[in-house]
Amino acid sequence: MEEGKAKSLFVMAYSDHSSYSSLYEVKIQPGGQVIGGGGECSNRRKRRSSRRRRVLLLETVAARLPTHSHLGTASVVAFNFWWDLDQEGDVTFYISPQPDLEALHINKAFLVQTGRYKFTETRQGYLVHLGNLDFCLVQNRFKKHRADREQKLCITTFQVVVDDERGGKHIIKTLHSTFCEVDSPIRLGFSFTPDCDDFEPTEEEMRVKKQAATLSNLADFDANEFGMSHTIPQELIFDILARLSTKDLIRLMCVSKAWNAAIQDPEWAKLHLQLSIKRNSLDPTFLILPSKLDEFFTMTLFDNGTKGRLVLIKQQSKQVEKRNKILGCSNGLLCIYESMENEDFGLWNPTIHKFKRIPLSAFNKWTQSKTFYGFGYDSVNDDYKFVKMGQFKDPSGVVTSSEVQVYSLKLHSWKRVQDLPSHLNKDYILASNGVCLGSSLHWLMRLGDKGGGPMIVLSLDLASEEYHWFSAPACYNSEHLSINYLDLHVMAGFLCFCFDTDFLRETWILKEYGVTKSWTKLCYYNRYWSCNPLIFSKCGKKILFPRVAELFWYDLENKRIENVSTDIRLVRSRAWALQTVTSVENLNLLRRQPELPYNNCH
Amino acid sequence: MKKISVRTSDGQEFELEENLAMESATIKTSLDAFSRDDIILLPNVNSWEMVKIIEFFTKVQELETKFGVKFMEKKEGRFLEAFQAEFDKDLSDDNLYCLLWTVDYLGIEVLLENLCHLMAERTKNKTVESCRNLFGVQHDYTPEEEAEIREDYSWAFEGPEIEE
Repeated sequence: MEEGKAKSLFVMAYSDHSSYSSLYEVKIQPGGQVIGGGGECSNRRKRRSSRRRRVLLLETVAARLPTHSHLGTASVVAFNFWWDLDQEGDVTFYISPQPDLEALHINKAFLVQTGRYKFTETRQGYLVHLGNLDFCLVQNRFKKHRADREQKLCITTFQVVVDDERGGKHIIKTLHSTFCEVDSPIRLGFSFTPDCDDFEPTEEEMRVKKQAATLSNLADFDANEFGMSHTIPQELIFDILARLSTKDLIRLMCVSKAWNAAIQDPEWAKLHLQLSIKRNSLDPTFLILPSKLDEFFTMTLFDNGTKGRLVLIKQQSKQVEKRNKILGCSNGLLCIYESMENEDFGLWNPTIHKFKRIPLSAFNKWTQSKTFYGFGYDSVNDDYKFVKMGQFKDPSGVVTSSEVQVYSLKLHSWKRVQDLPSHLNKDYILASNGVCLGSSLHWLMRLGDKGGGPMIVLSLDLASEEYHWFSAPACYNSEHLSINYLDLHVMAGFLCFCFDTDFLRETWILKEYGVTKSWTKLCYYNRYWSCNPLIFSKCGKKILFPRVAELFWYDLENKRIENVSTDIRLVRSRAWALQTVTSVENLNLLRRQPELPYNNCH
Repeated sequence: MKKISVRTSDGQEFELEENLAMESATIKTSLDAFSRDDIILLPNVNSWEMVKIIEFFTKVQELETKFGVKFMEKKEGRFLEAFQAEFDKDLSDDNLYCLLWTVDYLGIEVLLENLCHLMAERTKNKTVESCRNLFGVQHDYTPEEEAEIREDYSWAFEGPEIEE
């Protein structure tokens, strides 16, 4: 603490009964002791917000963890947090946890449970930074029951210091923990110290309210200028617009500012996407991408799948042109790259010609491990995520640890999630890149380092960040076959496992998700077709395969091929096609607004 | 089958079968509030719009008996493609707009779904200016601002089907 000056800590609180709130002033002495307390400064109107605040301090964010009352200690969790601006003006946030800071000693008198009604107790807490890594934790406990109105307030001051004895780690040094009883019940609002340039979050609230207001203004927009006797409501207009293709919608952004804002609104884009997916189930559309991406095709099936309409589209972006390999495709958004070693991945939305480079993760440059990736859509959070997974070996070749990082498109941020389950990491090795089904990414893992061992499918739920696993079909490790290709892919909402033997490629499909017994052999075909099936026919008896720039149906029962007739003149003169994926009209990547954190205490 | 009488804004009276009249949420609310023998007044609905609506219901019933499917319950925009082509023929853009408002006001979901689909089809190849006229939207961009958008997304304005 700085010498001499006592800092004022203001605790904003509001009482249960009245609609007024009071401001209490408490002085914190240089040594950390708290004096005074309970003196009312002013009365103000009740505020609704009682958010537990996190303190943003330069590069570290600290948050309070619950108190362990029997130990009389609490811990503070800290994260390393920083951000980076790239040349396109896009911001990327990085969050990496530091080890927990423990042993914050809380005044025991505060922690003791008294009174009869223990279970209806409410606990609140608020962390404030006083400057110079001095912190103050304000805690409040009270019972809701009318007969037991006891209220306790505890203010704990501590410092985060570097412990030289333990090798320069950060530890907590508790200064003082003062306990006060409060006469009339109060609820904690938030705490702040103006002395340290830490003000009430009014500006913050105003900004958030303003943003919310602009969006709701669109709903009130009155289009009565043309003197029509009735105007159809805004919602109906946007319902009609949601049925249009992305190309039309981009054009219609010119119509008016309200339409422009609505078309770029991510919430509305969700509705548009749902309708696109529905349309696609009736008229399947595919993207056919040649090896040089200066142009590409869309193919739409019609006439009950017997004919296909091919459209040639020119591709302008140089960034996209060189990235001709596909990692994954979700809702029409493609994750493409040129070289996995350079990690030059990017997200491309071909229907609106938008591309975004995935920024490099700033964590340790991984050596001694083969890195695997995955790209998918998290439907719970409406977010697209890119996952990087690596297993690390020690010098003798034994796998000892793993690291998994996730990039979220919506949050513009990289963060580290929990490592692979250790018992899996010990015995199994990652064997494929991830594919997305539901909101989970799936990877193949093989027992033991050499080929031929039994395999499992590891899944990472992108929303809950939890791991699950189940067996892959135990069909391929017949000794007499030489396996030279093994992969997972997703077809028509099912997980598929395929492998190549000498002449054939076999595809197995997981009919019931998670149920290992439901792995069923779907088909086998000439491995020189060298492609993976796309969709089922409506009757379910045929599968659609791509071949160069054309498509054909493979009849499972009769083992016959039926070509989809298209205008192949369009295609013949072009380069050989590389991959065909299902396409969906998606407005994602249209508006990217980087947001820098505004709350900054030094 | 009980018949419900309605009177439109220009004084004309129409008779609807009860189950069809109940497809309209607005009429249903009035029926629940008042007796079924009264004439329901619809001051916001024109007679030609009513004619169109009855035409729609008649056609749907024809197709239902023909194909044996309950179209009313499906609420799919697709199911009456042939019918839509016919319905679409003699409806001008402005008429379609007015009909859309009326059907929204009356709350006939099935027909609304079809009309939205029709309107979307019509919007597809329209120029930006004609869209503004169609939906009655005020032009609040300066020429420079609009030119900027057109330049940023020039690929969207190309193609044989746009009359820009």
